[in-house]
Amino acid sequence: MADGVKREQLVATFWASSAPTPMMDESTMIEEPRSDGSFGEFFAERFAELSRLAFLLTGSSAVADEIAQDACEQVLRRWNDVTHPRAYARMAVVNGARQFGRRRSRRPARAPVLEHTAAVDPDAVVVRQVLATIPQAEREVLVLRYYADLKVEDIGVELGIPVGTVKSHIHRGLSRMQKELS
Amino acid sequence: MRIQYLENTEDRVRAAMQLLAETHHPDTKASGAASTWQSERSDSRSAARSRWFLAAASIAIVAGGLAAIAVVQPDDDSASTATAPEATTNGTILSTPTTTTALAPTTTVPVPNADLRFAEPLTPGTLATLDPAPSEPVAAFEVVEPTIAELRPGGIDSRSDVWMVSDDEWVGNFTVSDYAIPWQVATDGQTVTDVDGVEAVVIPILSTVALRLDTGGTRVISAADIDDLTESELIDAAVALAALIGVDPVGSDLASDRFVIPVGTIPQGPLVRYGVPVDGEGTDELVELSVLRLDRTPTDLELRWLAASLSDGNAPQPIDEVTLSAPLDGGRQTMVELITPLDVLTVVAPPTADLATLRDGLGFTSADRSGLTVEPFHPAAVTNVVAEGEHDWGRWQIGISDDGACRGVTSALWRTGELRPEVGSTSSCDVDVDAERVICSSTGTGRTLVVALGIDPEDLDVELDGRSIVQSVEPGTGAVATLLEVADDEANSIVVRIDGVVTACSPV
Repeated sequence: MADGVKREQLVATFWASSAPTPMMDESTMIEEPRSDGSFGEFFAERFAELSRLAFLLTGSSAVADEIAQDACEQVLRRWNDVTHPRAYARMAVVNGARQFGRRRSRRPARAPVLEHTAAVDPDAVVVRQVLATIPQAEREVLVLRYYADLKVEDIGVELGIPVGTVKSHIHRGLSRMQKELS
Repeated sequence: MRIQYLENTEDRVRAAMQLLAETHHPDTKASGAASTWQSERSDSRSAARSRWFLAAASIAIVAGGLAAIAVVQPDDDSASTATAPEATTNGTILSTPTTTTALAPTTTVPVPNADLRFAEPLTPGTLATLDPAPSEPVAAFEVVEPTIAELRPGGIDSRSDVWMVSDDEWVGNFTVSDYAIPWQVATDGQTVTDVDGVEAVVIPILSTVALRLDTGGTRVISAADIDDLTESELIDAAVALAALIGVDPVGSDLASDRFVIPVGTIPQGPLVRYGVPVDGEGTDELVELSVLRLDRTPTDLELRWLAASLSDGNAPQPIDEVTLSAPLDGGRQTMVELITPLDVLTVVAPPTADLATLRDGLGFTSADRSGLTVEPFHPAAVTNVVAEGEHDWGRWQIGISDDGACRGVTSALWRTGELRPEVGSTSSCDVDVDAERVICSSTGTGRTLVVALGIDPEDLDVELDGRSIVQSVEPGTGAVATLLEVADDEANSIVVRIDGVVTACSPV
């Protein structure tokens, strides 16, 4: 849901209704187009990054590799069509993490539980704890902003949500982080 | 004034997240040579899939060595059709396929057409239409600024736009909204500072400054999608605007060369939309026509700023003294023409549309004579706040209207420490449906507000997927409410029992 101002809803509806749906049109993706490298090179370069992204989104080392692997499989299947494989794989990881979250949401424990980390840095511990308790949408935005280092506008494009929503998630998440970090 | 609020937190979170990520050690064998692709999983499905992937990755790596033989670089066309693994939809698709002739691609610029200009303002509600029409109009809307009666159920007591300009060029739009939410609730946990003698909260990440109103409410001043300024420039501008207007009503003249009150806002007035087939693609582009009633006759600069606001800041080019065109990001075209002292025609057209041809076909008519059914955008304007409450988790309110034909419901939820509410609304014109007794409003942030109207708080029981997850509800005025820690789309079912009887939960 958006802010309660109907005019913004009208603007979005009237002036942007024929814009491509975010995430469905690869031309909206942010990363630089792929080089002439092979899928193998892409895989070697990006698998660890994707797995860590999945780890931050799910809090589970056990499933992170599997989600990243699924993402790479999807990239491979479309290798001839995908011009932004890194962004494509990243969104596949986000989707995989969502599915994991949905499966887990059926379990009795409501809040995601990070299953493994050896982090001793106190800030990292706090970040881990906060990531474990915030809503999925908020977690996705924070991780894409501060781990994947995407701009807020680019996060909006990749997740298919308004920039204002991205900023709200960031602000809300940071406020919570600040409270816990202080 | 420049306030470093969450920036230190951002740096710490960024560094901590990197450290945290490094505590996870991906299976490096998987990212190494394909011949050692991990096959250690005991799970048979994973193992089988890994073997499949091993083979595929091996082929890809070998193929990569063979360069152009096996790995075909995509061309632009094929790339643009690739889709992400799971679609996220958030748009509204209104177009309808048509079989009429598309507007011919051309680079012709429109020429002034004196027939489109009138000495007197148009009758309110006048439609701009095309004759011949490129297709049956897809839709016609009566687009109006929401009235205060419509805004209030969303928690807004007043709302104004302010344009920001620089060197006589339109920069962007700020909104100034006065919310009913008490200052203490809205700013709980925030760092309170001072802007020109008024208690304030400055939030750079939201490009927002909040001011404490004399009424105890909260004024929120926010930049609205201004792309060309940095975050620090935006928040500096927001603070400057806050210092300029303070907590007084926003007048028509701000006595500033940096901020001005818009001569009109877009979209407003009746809008007619045509679907225009795109040659060879089987899809439609849209032509959108609207007549905008202005508050006053614009100066040349104000007309230019209006055109810039329609094109999201892209520089308008003059066609004549009262007509300007500009591109929209994504290729579509916009045109703005002052057709009476108080009316502006706005056109949004596909990239390939011939604006000159399109303009030659323009005409103005009343809704009655057009044969079009002009729908109000909101069939049931919400006029009454029927219930509200304030708890340690935030403030909520429900607005309902029922004009006998249609019923509208709006929910607003402020979480503690949040300046702006999360708002949901819905409307129904099915008169056979009973009025809502229980409203479930997903906040979009992993929470669902459940409000039961007009009942005893002792008798409400909420179950999520068969589990009782709420032990008590909290009374407000006219209803009881609770906040579930789950988004409605993450739950199979939300069941509400009143006196032991399951009651439908109306989504808002």
